[in-house]
Amino acid sequence: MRNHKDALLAIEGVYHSYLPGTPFERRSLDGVDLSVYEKETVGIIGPSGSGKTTLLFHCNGLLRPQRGTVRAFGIPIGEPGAELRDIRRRVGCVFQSPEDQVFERYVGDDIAFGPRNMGLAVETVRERVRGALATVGYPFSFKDRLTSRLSLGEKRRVAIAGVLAMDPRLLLLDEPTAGLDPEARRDLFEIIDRFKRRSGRAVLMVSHRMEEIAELSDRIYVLVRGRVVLQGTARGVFSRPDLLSENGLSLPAPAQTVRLLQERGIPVRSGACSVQEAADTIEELFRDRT
Amino acid sequence: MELIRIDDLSYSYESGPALRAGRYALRGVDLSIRKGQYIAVIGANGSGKSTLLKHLNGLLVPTEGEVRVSGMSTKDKTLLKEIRRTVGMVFQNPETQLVTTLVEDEVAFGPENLGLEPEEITERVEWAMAVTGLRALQGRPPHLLSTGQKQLLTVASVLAMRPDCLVLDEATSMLDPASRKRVDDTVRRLHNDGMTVIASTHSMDEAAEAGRVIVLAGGEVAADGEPREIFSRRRILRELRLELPTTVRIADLVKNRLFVETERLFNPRLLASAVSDAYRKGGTLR
Amino acid sequence: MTARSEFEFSVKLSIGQFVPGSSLLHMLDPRVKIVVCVMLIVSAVLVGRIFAVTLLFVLVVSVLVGTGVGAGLAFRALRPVAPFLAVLAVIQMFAIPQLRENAVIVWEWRFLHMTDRSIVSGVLLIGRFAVIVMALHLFSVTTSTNQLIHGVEQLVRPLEKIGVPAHELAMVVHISLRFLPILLFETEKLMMAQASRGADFGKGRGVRRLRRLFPLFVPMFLISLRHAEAIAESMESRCYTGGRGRTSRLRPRLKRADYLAIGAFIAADGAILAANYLFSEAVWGSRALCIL
Repeated sequence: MRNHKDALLAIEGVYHSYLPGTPFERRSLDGVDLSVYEKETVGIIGPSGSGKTTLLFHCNGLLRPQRGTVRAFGIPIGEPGAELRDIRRRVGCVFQSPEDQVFERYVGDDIAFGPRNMGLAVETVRERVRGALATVGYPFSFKDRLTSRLSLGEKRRVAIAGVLAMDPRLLLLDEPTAGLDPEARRDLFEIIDRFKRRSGRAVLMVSHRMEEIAELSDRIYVLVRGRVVLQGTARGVFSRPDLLSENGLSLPAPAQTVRLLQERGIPVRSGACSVQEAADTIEELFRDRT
Repeated sequence: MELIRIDDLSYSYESGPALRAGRYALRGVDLSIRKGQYIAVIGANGSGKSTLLKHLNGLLVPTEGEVRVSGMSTKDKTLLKEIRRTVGMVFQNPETQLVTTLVEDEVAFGPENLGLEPEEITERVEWAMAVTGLRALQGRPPHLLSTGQKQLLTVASVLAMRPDCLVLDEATSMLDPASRKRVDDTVRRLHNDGMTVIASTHSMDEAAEAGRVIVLAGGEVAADGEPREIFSRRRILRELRLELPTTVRIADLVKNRLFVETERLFNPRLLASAVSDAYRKGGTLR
Repeated sequence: MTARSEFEFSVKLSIGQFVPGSSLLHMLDPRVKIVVCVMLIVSAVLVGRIFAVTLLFVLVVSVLVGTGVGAGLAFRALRPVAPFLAVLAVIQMFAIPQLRENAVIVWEWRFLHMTDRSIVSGVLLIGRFAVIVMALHLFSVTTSTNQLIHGVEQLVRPLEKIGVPAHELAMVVHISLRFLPILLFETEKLMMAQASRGADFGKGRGVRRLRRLFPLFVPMFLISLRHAEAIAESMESRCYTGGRGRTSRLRPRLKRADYLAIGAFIAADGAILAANYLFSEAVWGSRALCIL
């Protein structure tokens, strides 16, 4: 077991309710524990309204815990004196809709928004923009494009570049592939994967697409009605179809296939998460018998 | 019986010189849609899916060509009300489709526009809420519902016009699996009762469940047929950078263990039964 | 004590938010409520005595409390504007020269003067504003927008004969109300996105703070346009073509309770207005009394 002190992000017993004291009061987080370590991608899945996005917003101080503690890089976010700008620089957050995030007229200015807020020198900002564009697979000349003319997939990459330009250590992603076609989605997966491989970095993503969470995450938390009901490796989590379906979550297609095979009495290993894993599982089945 | 007929439809968002330069969102689309079909429209971002669907109830009018709904041309403004009560439309983002501040009012909005009697409206509201399972939400303000509930509400408010055809423009792409299933199940049930359904999606897994798949690319119809036919045309799909359904991709990897064409195995149920058949029959190499 | 982040405006948002319920006010005909609300606002503007505006305030609060709606949310709605209001009241009290004429000076320092009249007008300003906010709250919390539309439409219908587009007016009000929470929500998201990239909305005052809000304007405008287009499409798809030929799910009829309610209210409001004019300087001739 890893030492809790090494976590880039450590959340303990966080509680949050919306519009407290009004007729619309709604509890959205009810004592959540979660941690993220370096070089891993952690996925949060849950039905809508389970508090996923609220939890994500606690990770860079957009919301402060009403109870419990959130520590990012050792800094307690809940405390009144916490230097939130410092935390937000290290914890980059990519929002669900790139429209909320890409707001400057030119791509270059938009990506430079973060570095400029950090007070970096002009030359450094330029380098940051160049680097961020390269990371998401665009040449430096892309900076002169008009943001209003970008496609959804391009806009999302620019949104990510804008966050990467601040050189964050922890990347938060809220439904990063919503509305993207398969090709754009694959490109995005690569960007995410490249990011987390670097030392001292990690990714925390929220999605209701089981397939992509299964494929990308090293560890998964299942959030239901503001509580963590299940956590573990992708394979582990998707070996518990009963618990998932009880909570309105479905299995990704590969895991579902394997489960159907088991129901038919075929001796296969459970919890395949990706196409390749499912194929391997089926291959094993035939190989073992011959 | 033919419900919608599209003849040589081209559409451009531009006008003037840009139009002459030929920047078209749709180009030369010919389609015939029969009553009671379940159609999936698939294609990459920017392939013209939304543009096509918006032509089906006259939200957009062809730059060239013609769209007819039950014989009524969408170019005739006097027929628009009749066309729109025949073809109901559900969009992607439920947040921006809700007009009122009370669930029942939302469902009543369409029928009220049709000028129906209060008793008839109340009856339709009751019916639409029952079909979509929203009765429990009566008396709630829509903006406090979950995204999934909101989308069910937009389906209900379209149903209250009693359309013959339901057009869904990526209607489930923002929903979580459970809500998606609720919307899908509702639509499927309506389809079984005779409703024509036309749904655009990014997901081949979803498209596989339709009776007919139309593939759009660059504003043109690139393929049109039953899911099995479409999935067998791997080269075209690869060229268009579209993905095969997840289970077909799994099947392709273990193809030499199976006895059937892999493109038939477009959902977990079909793949599981193909694998177990092969396993029971002895699994000899083909 | 928890520190609150700078992004929870929705917490403060209470005006214009319909709260479904079954209070007496919810049951009343929207027309009655429109009349009550308008009368309260007009009375608040008309009255010129502290006791009268206090009575109006007591009236509106007792309506809220007596019908089971509660006044807590309304007070909360007052809170964000309180500093602004206080500044206005202070200006009224000290720095309006006209309020010096014909008045008893209570306190004076250079160009600042506090007179009996200026105190009265400062207090009146706060009182009026509070009554107006509470009245609007009373109405919007208990009236769904659909009721509002039909209420306004029916009230304005007689004017249609002289060419006033009653339905369209009502619809404009309706859509604006529907848009308000959406826009606030979008602004909140946009600010969060910018803050995530180092923008600082929390600190600073006045012009500096305003300048920080500047990057929000253009995207907010674009987002509003996009939403407006989407809502228009959704309305069009459901055969909306304006008021002509449109019917209503509700067929409102004034009930006995409506007549009783409006009668009682007019009596109370009328009494306050009458008292306001009766207890004037001319009748009593006493300065001390007229201040109140």
